[in-house]
Amino acid sequence: MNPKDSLREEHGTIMKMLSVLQRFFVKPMSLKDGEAKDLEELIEFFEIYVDRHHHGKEEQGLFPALSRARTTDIDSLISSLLDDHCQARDYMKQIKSHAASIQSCTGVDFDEFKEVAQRFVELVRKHIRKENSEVLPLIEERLSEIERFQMSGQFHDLEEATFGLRGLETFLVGVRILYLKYYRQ
Amino acid sequence: MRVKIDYDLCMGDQNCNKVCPEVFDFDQDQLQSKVRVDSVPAHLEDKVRQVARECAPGAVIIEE
Repeated sequence: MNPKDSLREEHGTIMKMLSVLQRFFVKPMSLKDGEAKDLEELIEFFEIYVDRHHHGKEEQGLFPALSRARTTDIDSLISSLLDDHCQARDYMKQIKSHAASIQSCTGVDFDEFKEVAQRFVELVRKHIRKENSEVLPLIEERLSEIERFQMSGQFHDLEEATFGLRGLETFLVGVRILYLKYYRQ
Repeated sequence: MRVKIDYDLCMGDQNCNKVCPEVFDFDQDQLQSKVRVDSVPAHLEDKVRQVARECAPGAVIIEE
């Protein structure tokens, strides 16, 4: 798969799982049996698939390649996207911290979880729309076929380093189940 | 056929606008797609089905 389609498909998966996270913060403050475990799996998705795998591809592959191509204003755009990644990481740490005690939480704890989760969802949705609109088109406009081919190889290596023998497809099976359970019922 | 956008899922990649501009518009401020028509003209129904299949987050919802 070419790098643009690969990142675009991942953006689609992330948008779906943001909607699942949204279901958790519009629910009543107590979680039913199994839902705490589902929330843990959801957090694992954002830490591994989004931050390590997807952001890894962008930070180690895409952004340096676009920066080398000296596209107009690309460095300031990349800088703002990297700031978003840092902010998202910080929000996810807070979400994880609140989720750890959410089964026995007070209303205040749940409100804090809800607030930071909402901020995370809004930030990442806006970030993805910006990347789809302003960054992904540059892959075909500014990078040569050789550069795109090299990036595909780099993406493949990153995928293996992140998911190893378990494999990305196996990881995504659980993700699809969560999506069907909480969003497209 | 009717079609709508799930705005929580729309990721603004504009594929729907490129494939079927007669039915889908793009809001440059919100960076999201919009539906331009109340009901889809019969000759564009297959294109809209294609758009729904290709939408990675599944934001294009068809009501037959």
